[in-house]
Order: sequence, then structure tokens, then C-alpha cells
Amino acid sequence: MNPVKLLKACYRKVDHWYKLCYNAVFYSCEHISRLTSEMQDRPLGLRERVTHWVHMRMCSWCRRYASQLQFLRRQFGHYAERYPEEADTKMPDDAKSRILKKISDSSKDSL
Amino acid sequence: MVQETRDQLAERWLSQYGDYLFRYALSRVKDASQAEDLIQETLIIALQKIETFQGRSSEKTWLTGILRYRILDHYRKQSRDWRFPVAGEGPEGGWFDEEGHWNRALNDAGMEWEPDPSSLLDRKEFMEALHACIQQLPDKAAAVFVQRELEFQKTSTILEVLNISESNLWVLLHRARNMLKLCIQSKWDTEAKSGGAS
Repeated sequence: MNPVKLLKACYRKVDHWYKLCYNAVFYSCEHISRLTSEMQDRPLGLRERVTHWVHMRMCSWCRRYASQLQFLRRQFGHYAERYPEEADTKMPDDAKSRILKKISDSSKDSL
Repeated sequence: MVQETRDQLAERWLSQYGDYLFRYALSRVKDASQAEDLIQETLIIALQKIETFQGRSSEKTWLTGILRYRILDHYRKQSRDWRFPVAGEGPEGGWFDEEGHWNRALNDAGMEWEPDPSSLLDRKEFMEALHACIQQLPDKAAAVFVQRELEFQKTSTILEVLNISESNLWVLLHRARNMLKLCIQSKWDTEAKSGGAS
């Protein structure tokens, strides 16, 4: 155990984390907003997660963007389920008769 | 006799589930004529496969399942003509200054939007506004958006079916979300200014 080696190793560790935090602080909001969106689709790597987390602690603009995206995502889910059930739109009658005609024509063909 | 039941079956399906299926398709494709085509395909396939329907699920669920597959196939076919990289840029291009930080001037104008869930979660108008915004998405963004956020497909399935690269998928999804955010914001702003008495 050489104390100098130990010290150097310590320094490298500290330096590594310092740089990571430094980069996290100075990453652009543009980059962070992309990560915010991609988090909804893929697991972020450790580095990305740290970067994102630190940036979020400091930047209220990116926090708001993230909460807006989360809000929208919930709305998309509601929409996907409820639009087919609850919207007022109906299938036009002429569309229905066109479809029925096609179906009865096609069954005559196959007979 | 067989002929008769086939047509009658289609007619009953249309009258019972037609509107639901139509709205389901309409919420996931561009317009009514595409929705109509998809429902026609769905019913024809359902009639062919009627033997395999064993009543384990409801008829409605069964038909919806077939329709969902038709929608996926619709986008698969569409994706064959796609060219990459994606042309132009999303609305987010103008949101940042040269250093990549939020452009405050712009934000002050339109981005104050803080969604208040209690006021709009149950509002039909919000659903209609969202519908209008989704229909305005460009083709590629719409395809990935529909499959990911409305059909809840795994990203691996989307990559395979649409035959696009992972980085293109992330770009398209990010762009679709930003476009919808912008669209919803502007609709919401206009409504808040015009009425607000709800």
C-alpha cells in the first residue's frame, strides 16, 4: 500500500465525479430535454441518469418541461382509451353501406 | 343460407360496434376515408376467421384486436416509402438559444402553460383538442406516436415493423411530443383568452 498511489487513485475518483457533475451542470437544456423525452421510451445509462438528475435539481425550466411531458403522456393514455368510447363522431351511414356492399360483393365472388 | 348469415353478421357488427370501431380507427389514422378502409378490411378478415372466434373475449374486443393489427399494417405499408434522415426540424429548434438553453423571450410568450389537471382531465373539449392536434402531425411522427403512445407498443416492435433506426425513433418521438405540446398550448391559450368562464 503505497500512500502516494492511494492518494492518486483517490484523486482520480474525485476528479472523475467532479467532471461528471461539472458536465451535468453545463449540459445544455436542449440535450436534457431530449433525455427527458427518451426516458419515456428507454432506460437511460448511468451517466445519462446522473446528468439528468443533477440538471433537474438546478433548472426549473427543464423541470417544468418534464412535468408537461408527463402530463401529456397521461392525457395520451386517456385519449387512446376514451376517444373511441366517448367522442361524438359516428360512422357515416354511406360509409356503412359502402362497406356492406363490398362485403356482400366479395362473398358472391367467392361462391 | 350461408350467404345470408354472412351479410347479416357484418350488418349486425356494423350497427353494434361500427361507431366504436370507426372512432378507434379515426383516433389512430389521418382521416375518415382511411378509417373506413381499415374497418372494411377488419370485417372481411373477421368473417374469414369467424370459426376461430370462440367467445373467450367479447366480440367487440375481438374485432378491436383485428383492427389494431390492420392499423399496424397500415403504418408498415406507409413506412416503405419513407426516406431518412428526417427532413426539417421540430418546433423545439426555436426553443433554445445558441448555447442550447431555453430561450426566455419565447418562453415568456407561450410556455407559461402549467397544466391544471383538475380543470381539464375530464373535459371532452380537451380530448377533441388533442384529437385535432394529433391529426396534424406529419406522417412519420404520427406513425411512431400512434404506435408508442396510443397503442402502447414496445419500442422493439415499432423498430421492426416500421424498419427504422433507434436514433430516428427517438428523434421522431421527441418531435411528435413537442409538436403536440405546442399545439395543445396554443389551443389552450386561445380558449383561456376567448372564454375562460367554464
